[in-house]
Formats: sequence, C-alpha cells, structure tokens
Amino acid sequence: MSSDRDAMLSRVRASLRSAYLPGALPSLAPWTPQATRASRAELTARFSSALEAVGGEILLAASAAEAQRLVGELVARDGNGEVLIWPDDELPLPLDGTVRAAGGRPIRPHLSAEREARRADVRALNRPSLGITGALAALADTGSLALVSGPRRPLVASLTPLTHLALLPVDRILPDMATFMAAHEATALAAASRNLVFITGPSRTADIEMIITRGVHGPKRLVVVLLDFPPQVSPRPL
Amino acid sequence: MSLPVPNVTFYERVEDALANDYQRGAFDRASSRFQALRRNALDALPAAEDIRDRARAIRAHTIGKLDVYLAQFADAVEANGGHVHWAADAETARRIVVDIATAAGATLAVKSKSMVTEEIHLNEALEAAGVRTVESDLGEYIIQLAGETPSHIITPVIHKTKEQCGQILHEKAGVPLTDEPAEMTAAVREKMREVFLSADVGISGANFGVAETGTICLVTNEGNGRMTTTLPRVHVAVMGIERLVPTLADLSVMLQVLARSATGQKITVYTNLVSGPRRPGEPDGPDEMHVVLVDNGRSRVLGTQMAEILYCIRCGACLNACPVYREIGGHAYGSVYPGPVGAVLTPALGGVENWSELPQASSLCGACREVCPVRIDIPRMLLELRHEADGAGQSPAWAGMGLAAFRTAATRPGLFRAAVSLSSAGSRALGRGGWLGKLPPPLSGWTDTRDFPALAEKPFSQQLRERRAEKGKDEDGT
Repeated sequence: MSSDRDAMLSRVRASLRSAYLPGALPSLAPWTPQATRASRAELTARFSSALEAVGGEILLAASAAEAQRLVGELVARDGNGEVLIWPDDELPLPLDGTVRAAGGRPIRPHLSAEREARRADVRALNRPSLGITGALAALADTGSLALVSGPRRPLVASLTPLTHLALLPVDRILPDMATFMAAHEATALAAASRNLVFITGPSRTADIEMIITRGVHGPKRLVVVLLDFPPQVSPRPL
Repeated sequence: MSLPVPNVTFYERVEDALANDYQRGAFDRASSRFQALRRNALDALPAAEDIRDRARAIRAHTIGKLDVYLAQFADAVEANGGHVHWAADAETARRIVVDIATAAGATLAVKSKSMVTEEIHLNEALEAAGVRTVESDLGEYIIQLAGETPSHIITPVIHKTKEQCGQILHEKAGVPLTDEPAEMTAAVREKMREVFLSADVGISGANFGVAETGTICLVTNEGNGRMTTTLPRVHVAVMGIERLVPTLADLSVMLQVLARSATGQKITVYTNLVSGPRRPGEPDGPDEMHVVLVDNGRSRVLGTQMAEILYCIRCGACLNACPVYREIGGHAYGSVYPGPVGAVLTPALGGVENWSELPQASSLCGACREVCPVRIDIPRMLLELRHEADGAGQSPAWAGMGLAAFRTAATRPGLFRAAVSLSSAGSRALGRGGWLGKLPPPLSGWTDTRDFPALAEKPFSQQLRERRAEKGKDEDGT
C-alpha cells in the first residue's frame, strides 16, 4: 500500500540525516574493470578448465555431424525416454531428429496458468532424466553458462533433470560477467525476460561435514558440447 | 522488540558451547578450511583489493541513498509485474506472507535458505496458519527436522557430525539410516522433489535486489533457489530493505567477492536473477511474484553510528575469521546473526539493553575487518556498542572492579612491580611446562575451559633494562 511505502521511505529519509556512513559518496565514479584481451582459443581453454574444475564436462565438436553424434550418445546413455529440449530454432543446431534417432521423445513443457492443471504439468516435466538447452553466452573466468528465459526457452530443462546438456558455440564465450553485462545490454535483457541464470557446474552441497556431494536439487551432471564451427541455425534475436 | 531475546544468559550459552568438544572441533576445522579457501580464491583474483574497494563504494553509496534506490527498485518490480509489500516490522512481514499464502490457497510452502525469514520467524507463523513450510536447503532441512536454529549463516548444520545428520534424517524424515552424505543427499533429493512438485508457494530471501531492473538475485549451490522460484505458482521474496545495489553492473562486482569470501568458490553454482512473474508466453516460472521489503529496525539503525553494518552482504567471512566464534560457535550468540556481524547487528536491531553481552564477545583483534569483502569496521562499532551499554548501566560489575584494581596498581610503579613479580612467581609455582591448568576462583573462569600461560620469569621491564645495559656494554667495548 502506498501509505506503507511512504511511511517507510520517510523513516529512511529521516535517518539518513543523522546516518554515519563512512565511504559513502553521493555518486559512484565510473568503473572500468580490467579488460582481458584473449583469443577465442584462449577463452575456450579457460572456460573449459574452469568448468571442469567445478565438475562440469566438456565435449568438443568440430562439425555439426560430430555434435549430433555426441548428443545422440548422451540421449542413449542418460535419457529415459522423454527429453526436455528447446525447439530447434532456439538451438544453434537442430537436434529434434537426433534425439528421436537415439530413442528419445522430445518434450517441451508449458505450465498451465490454472492451478490444478499446473500441478499436473509440473509432475510431467519432472519425469525426463535429460534436459537439453542452448546458452546465450558463457563466461571464461568462472566456467559459467548464461541462460535466459523466453517464450520458447523453458529454463526447467536446465534444472529438474539429472543431466543437463548445453550446446555452446565457441564464439559465445566472453571473458567474464562484467563483459557480459556490458555486451548483452543486460538491463534490456532483464527487463524483457523473467529469468537470467548463470550456471557454473552441477548442483552441489558441502553442508554435511564439508564433504562435497553432487546432484542435490539440480542436475548431477552438466555436459557442455562446444561447437567449434559456424552455427547452422541462427537463434532468433532476443 | 524486533528480535526475540533468549531466556538463557550469554555466559550460560557460552559454557554450554565450550563443554561440547565435537562442536568446538567442528567450528575450528570448518573455519580454518573456509579461511584457506577464501584466501586462495582472493589471491587468484586479479586486482582483488580494487574490487573490494569498489564493492564497498557501491554498498556505501547505495545505503547513503537508500530512499532513492528503494523507490526505484519498487517501481521496477511493479513494472515487471511483481507486487511490492512494505513491512515495518517482523509482525507485519509475517502477516503479509501468511496473507499471500492463504490467498493462494496454499497448504504447502517450500523455502530456500533465507536469514531474514529466520529473523522474522516466518515458518512458525505459516504453520500456525495451516501452511506446512519446508526448508529445502539440505543443511536447513536437517536443522528444521531437529527443531534447531542455524549455527552458521552459510553452513547451518556445521555443528553436527554426519552420523548425527543421518540419525535425524532417519528418525524425522524416514530416510534409510546412513552416515554417507552422498546417500543422504540422494534420499533428500527424492523427498524434496515431491515437495517442490506439490508446493503452492515458493518463499526465498534475496542476496541482492537490483534497483534499475527490479531484479532479485539469489545464489545457491544446490539449485533449491531456482526450484523455489520456478516451479510453484506463487513466488514470495522476503528481503531486508538494505539489500540493494543500483545496477546489474554493480551486481557483477558484488558477485565477484561474495562467493569467494563465503566458500572460496569463484561463483556459486547457480546465480539466479529473477525479474517478476513469468512473461506472456513463457513456459515456466510463477504466475504471481511478491517482494516483501522488511524494515524491522533497519531504518532506525541507519540513523546511528552503526549504519555501516547495513553494508554487509552476509558472506560469513567474519564468522570464520573470528577467534571467539571459532571457540563458541553460532548458537552461543543466541541470535539468528552470530559472529562479529551478529555482535553488531543483533544489538543494533534488537536494542543494546537486550543484547549488551554480544559486543563483549570479541577480542577486538580486527580479523573481521580484515576479511570483510566490503571492509566494514566491525571493531569500531563493537566499541561504540560497549560504550552505549556502559552508558545504559549495562557493563558487568566485575569489569569496573577489575579496571579499578588495574588502575590502582598501574599508577603506582612500586606496587605494579611487586604485583608483577608476585604473579610471576606464583604462576610458575602453580604451572607445569609453562602453562597453568587450574586456578582458584575467580580465575577458574578462564582455566575451566583453557590453559593460561605462566608469566615470564623476568618481567618485560627488567628484560628491557638488561638489554639496554648489554647494548651499552657492546658499544663501549668497541
């Protein structure tokens, strides 16, 4: 309610008059983080080693055929019939046929707005043990994937299954998050979509005696297929 | 009163904590590990000190213009289609969340780890309103089953052995008995998945709110933050009003120091940025999104000498660095916020008259200020609070008596020398191998739980005199 808002804002304003705030400047000076210049090969190497250091797996594909073969093998190994997957025009490479050829059935969840129907939809999307997505970008210094939600990009595909497979063209690897925020006009991105997530390795915990265990609520395996060739399909602009 | 005060005194809680040998070892081991991980992570970050300076500047600037950023944030959340609620105190915050859950027809709510919901005791209120509320962070879940409170803001169940965790999960949740964390994790994944699939409401905290975009940033390693904000039909984010940063670029600076300071990771596994409910056509995410802005004493703290504590980003580094926390652990502080940050924040929020002992729980060594990613001067505020407590007649009587005795001796050189040589002789007569294991009361207060070093045979003043004489001889002899 606006009166609650006004009341809180006036309490804050009143306190600011007597606040002792060491280091507080009326405006923040411009800040240019150290720019890292690196070749695509260097960025790819850094991304791969950072992701592997946190338990992610990297598969390198030098051609579309090789990428499809790698995906097919993973569908056969980690799939359990249904595969949560983004539509072909959201992926850098068509995979629908590949998934079917490997014995998988592509499914694209859409949660209903109605409460009971939504419950059933949520249960249905929980069944697949494999999820396949693209990625908007990747960050070399942390080994992170950036995924952004959209009408045809269900982020649950990167969350509920035991294995998450992501396809990443190597030219999408950026040095770090600061570069990402600048390069992708992050403000517009955040305003246009509900969810932007940085994924750095498989789900993990160290809550019990600091012993690292994987696959707590999110995927136990994160596999990134690096596409080191020009994309066949250009995903729609965001 | 904004924070409930425990009915057992601080000193009794400390005695309990010190009597628990496993806990003392566990806190010490975990703290040492975390400290080493933090050190390595920051050493590997180029220009880490500059980034810390920037992180501090961002937090200080934001708090200095908190009214502006709060208004901007709230407008942006609403522009994204979210609802904003303004809670002046804990009771209002509880009522708001209970009302949202009830309106959604919720019988089950799933939570991802949040300190502010611990602060306002949200779970009890939801349960009382008939909404079963389940913590989904593995450590928090075990704590909830055990009916306890977190002992560390990052690793809440660090005070328990894996055998104890296995026992609790077995007895309270029907998980097959095991002392293997991997098996416990797999079993909890199954149990909790059922909760995520049936929960009507997901409740989270917020590591940061981004004013320009109305975005909530949640970081988790387990993925429970994402599940909570993706599967249930309604998402409620509860956040303290001080958790803001101006822009996404500022957020990326904070994220560079948060995980490194907390666990030594470069970044947490999931850095989840949520801007409102799902957009038209989006296949997943909640249909309804609420942000509850909790004041609960913060706007009052803002007007005091303790305002700097509002810069805190809850990484827990000061807990791990604190020699007092490492001995007594989190529960002894009696507050949801333990350690050095808790020793300032708790009395600041809850009143120094209720929490006068907490600012005493520090040796003022400055380790907390040293490791703080935003360089908060915690020792300064501990002294400030001690001063306030003293002004309010809250200093312990023995502190005054002890200081008076010291003043008497220290201002009379003869008496001082006599006292020193007597103590020295006495301590050496009683000690073994240079350590005193047992002293009579009131000194037993120290030796009941730790040894005290015997005093040097020659007091410093005598050593200094002899050294000077020695040096003088050398110089004469050449």
